[in-house]
Amino acid sequence: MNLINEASPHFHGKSLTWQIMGAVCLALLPTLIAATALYGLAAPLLVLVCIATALVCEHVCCMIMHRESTAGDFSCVVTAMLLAYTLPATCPFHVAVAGTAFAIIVVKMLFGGIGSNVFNPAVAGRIFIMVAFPSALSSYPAVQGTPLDAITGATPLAEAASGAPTASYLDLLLGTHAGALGETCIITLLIGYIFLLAVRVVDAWATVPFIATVAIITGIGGEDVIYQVLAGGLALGAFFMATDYTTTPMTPKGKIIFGIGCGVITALVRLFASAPEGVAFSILFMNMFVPLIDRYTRTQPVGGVKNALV
Amino acid sequence: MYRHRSVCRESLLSAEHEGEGELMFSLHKTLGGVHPPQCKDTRDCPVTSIEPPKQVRIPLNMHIGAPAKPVVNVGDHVYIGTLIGDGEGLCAPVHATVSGTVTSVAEETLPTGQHAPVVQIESDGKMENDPALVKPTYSNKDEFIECVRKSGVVGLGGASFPSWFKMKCPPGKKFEFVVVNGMECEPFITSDYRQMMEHAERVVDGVARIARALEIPAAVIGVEDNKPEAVDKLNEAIKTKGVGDFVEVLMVPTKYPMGGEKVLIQSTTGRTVPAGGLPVDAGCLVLNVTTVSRIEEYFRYGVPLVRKTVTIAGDCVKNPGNYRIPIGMSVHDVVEATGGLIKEPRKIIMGGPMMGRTITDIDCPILKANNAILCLEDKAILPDETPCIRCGRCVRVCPLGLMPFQLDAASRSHDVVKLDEYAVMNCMECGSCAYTCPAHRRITASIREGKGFYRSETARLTQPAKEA
Repeated sequence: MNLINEASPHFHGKSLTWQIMGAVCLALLPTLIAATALYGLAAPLLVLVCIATALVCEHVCCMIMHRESTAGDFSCVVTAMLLAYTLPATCPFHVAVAGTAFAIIVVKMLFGGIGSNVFNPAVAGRIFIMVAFPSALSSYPAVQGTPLDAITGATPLAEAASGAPTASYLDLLLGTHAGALGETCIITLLIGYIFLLAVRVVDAWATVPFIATVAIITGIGGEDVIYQVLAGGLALGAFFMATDYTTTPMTPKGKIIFGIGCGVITALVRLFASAPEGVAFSILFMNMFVPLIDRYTRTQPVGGVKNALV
Repeated sequence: MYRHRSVCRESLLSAEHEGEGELMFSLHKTLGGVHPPQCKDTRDCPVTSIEPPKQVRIPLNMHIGAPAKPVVNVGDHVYIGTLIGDGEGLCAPVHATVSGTVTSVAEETLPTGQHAPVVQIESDGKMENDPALVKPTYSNKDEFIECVRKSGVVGLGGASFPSWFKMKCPPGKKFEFVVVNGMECEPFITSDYRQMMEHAERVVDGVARIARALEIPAAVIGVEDNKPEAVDKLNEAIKTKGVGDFVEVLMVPTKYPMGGEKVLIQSTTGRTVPAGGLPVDAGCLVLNVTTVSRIEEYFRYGVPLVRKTVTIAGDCVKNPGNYRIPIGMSVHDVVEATGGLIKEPRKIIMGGPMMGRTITDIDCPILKANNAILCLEDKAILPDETPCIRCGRCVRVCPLGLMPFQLDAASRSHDVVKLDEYAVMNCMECGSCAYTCPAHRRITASIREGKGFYRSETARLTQPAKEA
């Protein structure tokens, strides 16, 4: 008899990495459909370009690093989709490819691949594009079918900053305004997030404090609170980026601190900085503090700790 | 916690309290936990005896502590219950489990990797009890504990800590509760369940006897709520025996590892065992239902621990069920005596799938604390490890509030300071973290190694440099 000798436990639960990442991709799909309806076929095409780039980059990196390829675990697909969602549908493909390649190669793989990256690759990729190709993010396409089709519009936050908001709350909910392809339709983002909550892939420990802090501070700053919550990348960031496993704290306490930190920075950027939007900066900024937050929000062992050293 | 304690004290003081209506014990919340598939298909299989073996090989280290020293020689004739090994200190006596002739007494390497004397007995097929066995009597605490020692009973839930040693209360400490473990939270295993179903009155009598003899005011039997029939049987027995004023059954939610000692104490009494401490530090004496039942059996009939009820299960076994097996019978003989295998297993596990140990040598003997043999084909084959994605599931399910992913990383990088910081020694190796890990990381195995490394490193670091 050829018996296996292995340490316990001999049973394994059902959730697997690729299933978790697959669930996130699934949760992002309704928004892709909405984006197609809003901005035309350019939107899904851009997403596909990003996904293809991410898969190739991840696979090649793994080959160079002599590792088993992790391209099949869908985590790079999540990164690619999130990155694409922060871009305007009219973004040139070479810009999207450069951003995705930066996200996967530099931000993710150079830091050690899945689970080891310090910064959220999608957010870092987006900021890379902002810095390297500012013109690609300077104009956002207006929604299809509007009388001024093909003419670019200002995003609601830019309008708010200049003091003349034109989008109604309903526009903001449905996404029928100019903006990044996956950031505008709050309804579908919410559907995806609720799905992830239902299958217990994510929790609300970071999301709720994030949104609440933005609402409170912008409210104090005299802005229209509902407008501030619904406009811009807050929903995408709070639902899908502040809930990323690798780049956010581990414990509920840590996640709350992370969420509040993101909220404060987002609100301050929106109120005082020259940039209209601060979600991406806030997440990237708070990513740096994750090890520190994790250190000070450890769980308390039952029965205390009996240290032999220290 | 304190409310509960005061209720308990009151119940002792007031003579009119009959244990009816007012409950002494209530359910307390515990952290984490997982829900593995139960696979308890053998729950309705009554315990049956099997064809006695031709030979048994009895290791003398079937308990935690020093191995017993053999007290028989080759050629001696022994009966069932004849003492074959005993020792001083933290040790439990070992008895012959078949009648026959001792054919070998030799130091051997066991499948567990330990060295210990093994007594081999060739059966004469008569299976006679030792005529010298008598019903033990006792008149005080110390005599009672000595009787328990002579019964050879060790923690039969799997820990195999000598029961008599547990009962010796260190000076300055006090037992306030007997906590009896009837959780049986591991998948597959149903031997404790059968014990409660078939011998509920013996369990209750045993609990009452232990509590009275050791002057412990209250006792609770914790049972998971997937075994309501067992709870009914126990409650019925408590009623007939009239011990309801100090023995109680508490039903707790089904969750792995409810049967872990620290979790059990927490869920039934609300107390926590301090790090590095023992249950007595929380005022608890924790015993498994089968342990209690075996102790009671010894006091009733004078027969020490010579047989063990073992659940034989898994998809490769022809006749899964619960069998009464003489200790020392080989796994191979046991499986053959129960009808053999229907297909070749890939893994044979002694114990449950969450904490059990795989064996590669099927001639390995059944030990005192074995409660299951699982022969599995592909159910127990684990996928390969992938990198940790920091999802936090291990932290969420850890019943002891540890951070398994940190311990895993620290163990792999041999970081003794980090192991110390994250309380590696608090881990009870229940396996919940590895069970739930979506990257299938062998967290429990790595922490187990980390504990070994931590022990040797701290011993080295805290010892003053003598040789220098």
